[in-house]
Amino acid sequence: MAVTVLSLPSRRVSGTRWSPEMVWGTIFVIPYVMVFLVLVVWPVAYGVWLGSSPASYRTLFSDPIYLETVWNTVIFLGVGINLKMFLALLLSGYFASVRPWIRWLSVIFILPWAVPSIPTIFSFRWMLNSEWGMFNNLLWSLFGIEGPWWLVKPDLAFGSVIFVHIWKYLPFWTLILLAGRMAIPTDLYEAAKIDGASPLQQFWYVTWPQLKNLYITSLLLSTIWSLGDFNSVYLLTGGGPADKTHVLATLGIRYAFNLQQLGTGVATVMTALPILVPLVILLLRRLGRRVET
Amino acid sequence: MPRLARAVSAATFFCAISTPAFAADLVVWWNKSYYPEEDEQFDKTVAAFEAESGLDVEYVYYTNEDVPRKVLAALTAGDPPDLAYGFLFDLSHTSRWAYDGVLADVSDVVEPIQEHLLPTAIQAVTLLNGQTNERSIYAIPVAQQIEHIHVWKSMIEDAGLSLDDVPGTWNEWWDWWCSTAQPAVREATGDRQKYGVGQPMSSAASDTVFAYMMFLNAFDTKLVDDEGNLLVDQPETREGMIKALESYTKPYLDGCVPPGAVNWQDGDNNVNFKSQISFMVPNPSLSIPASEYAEKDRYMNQMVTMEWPDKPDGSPIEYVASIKTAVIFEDAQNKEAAKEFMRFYLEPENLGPQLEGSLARWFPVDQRIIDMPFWHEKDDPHRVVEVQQYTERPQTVWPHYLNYKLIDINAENAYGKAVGRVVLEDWSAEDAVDELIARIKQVAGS
Repeated sequence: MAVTVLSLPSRRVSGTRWSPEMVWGTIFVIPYVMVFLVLVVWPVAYGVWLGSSPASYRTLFSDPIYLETVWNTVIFLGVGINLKMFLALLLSGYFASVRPWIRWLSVIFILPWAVPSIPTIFSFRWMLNSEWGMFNNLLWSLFGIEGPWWLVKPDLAFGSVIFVHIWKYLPFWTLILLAGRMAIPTDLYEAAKIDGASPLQQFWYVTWPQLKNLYITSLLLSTIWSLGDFNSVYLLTGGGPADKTHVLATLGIRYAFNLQQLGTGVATVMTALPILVPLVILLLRRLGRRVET
Repeated sequence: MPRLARAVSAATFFCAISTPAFAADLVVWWNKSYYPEEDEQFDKTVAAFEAESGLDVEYVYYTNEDVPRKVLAALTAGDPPDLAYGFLFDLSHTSRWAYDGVLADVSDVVEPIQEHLLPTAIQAVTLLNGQTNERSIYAIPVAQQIEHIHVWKSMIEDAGLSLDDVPGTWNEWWDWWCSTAQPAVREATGDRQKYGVGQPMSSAASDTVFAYMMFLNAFDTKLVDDEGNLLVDQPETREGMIKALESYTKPYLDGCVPPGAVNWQDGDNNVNFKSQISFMVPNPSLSIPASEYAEKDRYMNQMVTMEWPDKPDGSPIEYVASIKTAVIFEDAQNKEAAKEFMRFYLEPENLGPQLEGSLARWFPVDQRIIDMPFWHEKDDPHRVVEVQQYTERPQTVWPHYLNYKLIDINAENAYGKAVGRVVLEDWSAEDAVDELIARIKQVAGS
């Protein structure tokens, strides 16, 4: 008896007919792609084009405020970010305690990050007012001393900006590092205790090696995000006094909307790319390395 | 199934991008007022215009700061409104827009009523177009503002002083508030946080620019000539700028200005005065007393409006008039409708009630409106002084009306920067002025 083997026809015939799954998949992807093109690709490309004129950079570099702003940005990132992350590292150890009341404290601790920026930073602005702010009034009422001119002296004003930034974003990074600590196996600490390691030695030989990658990745990410921190400066000092506390983000807005020079405003933030691009590359490499391992 | 899905997707897409079926005949972006009466009057004017013309007007109110930003975004997108009005336009934008050619020529709106308009108003709107290299009328004058002085008379009298004691000439006048009034008020109130001079010192407030212009006038210093040519290279101009800056910063350095004044935004001097931290404040409109209009005792008896002191040489000071302007854009789709609306709006029976609704915060530029009874009521102590300042005192215009490039110096508040150099960084007035002059020349050309 002869047996004839029939081969089933292929689902794709000559590439001209899409399967139902491919059609539906395309339909569902199209809105996302359109939104991405319109709201991400187009604005970025348009912004790059707006900031591409050499005249904008000549205007920017000839402004006496620009160099001071670059220096402020470097200080803001170098001091503010590192201080914030170091405090987050310390506080994450504190909140890792199993005591219940400390867990409740962490809920309150997260509030600065959770509450919107505008009311909170404005509150700081009012509290730091030299004449009628709460801090100086308390100093006078309780101790009879005149408080510092917090937002009047440029150094104090910029210090206040860094403080507000740390106050606002410290809780978030503390939680991130706390999560990293919670992932460290407890038997490593038990073994270290058995070997007679002090708390400092436990941190240096157990905690830090486990947390180092997360810490550095968080540091890079925080630096990238903080490069665009507009609120901390704008809401607290507006870039003042006398334009002494501007960072690149606020200077860009000043050019774009106060001086009606959109191209120069974009060029201002574009000058951050030499810092931003290497940071992003470094971050992606670190993340790629972690995926491979 | 796939065919149905494709049809649904296509229909959704085309609905999303379809243009509205009914577009307005006129699109207007208008600065929201500080007082509801002013906006209500504008609403009535628009309704009356629609009834008379048969045109459909789509209008939106934006705040002071938002109007220019929205306009900038619209101009960048190539889709401006037909007509826009902003309180800050003349200070930071109009001259530049005219030079860049984005404004429509509105001579046919202004010239028919030119005989009724004040000379400073005409001067403010006759601007240079960089495309044609000729001056023409590119903005429509609506109202104006100048600097006033407001004082808590009640606080002065409670301290055992009288406003009759205030000297009339420049240096002595400023010194009185600092060395006589401030110690007396502090002693009377027992509050060390009372300041005799609510001078704006910030590079973030347009109030600083207004006030510094008055100080320049006090020392007979002009930054440009009548043709708009820069005069900053002249030794006497530099000398005048130095004296103006020294005089401006002296009260702060003497401890007579609230320290936080270096951070003030527009409106903070109002807040400072109303909370009686400063008991004398310069301000470029009657917004401060107008905000107290409902509190009759405070408005009528406790606070007063005064004129600025005479110049150091004893002659009357010139007030710097800031002319509030509406503009029609060259790329607008309904220019003729916009012009028709502005002709209607400028008629005294329409604009007059609106300015009255502003509680005299804005002063007319049209003599027909100035002659209306509201502006000559003698029982309003603030308005009486205001009218006297506008009608009996000499006036000048802003230098950037004559040289458009100086608008960028205004916009970046280089004058406030110079003030900051002296009071925050211990620079000498000479060095601060030299930096200011260098910046003016860099931006506006030598």
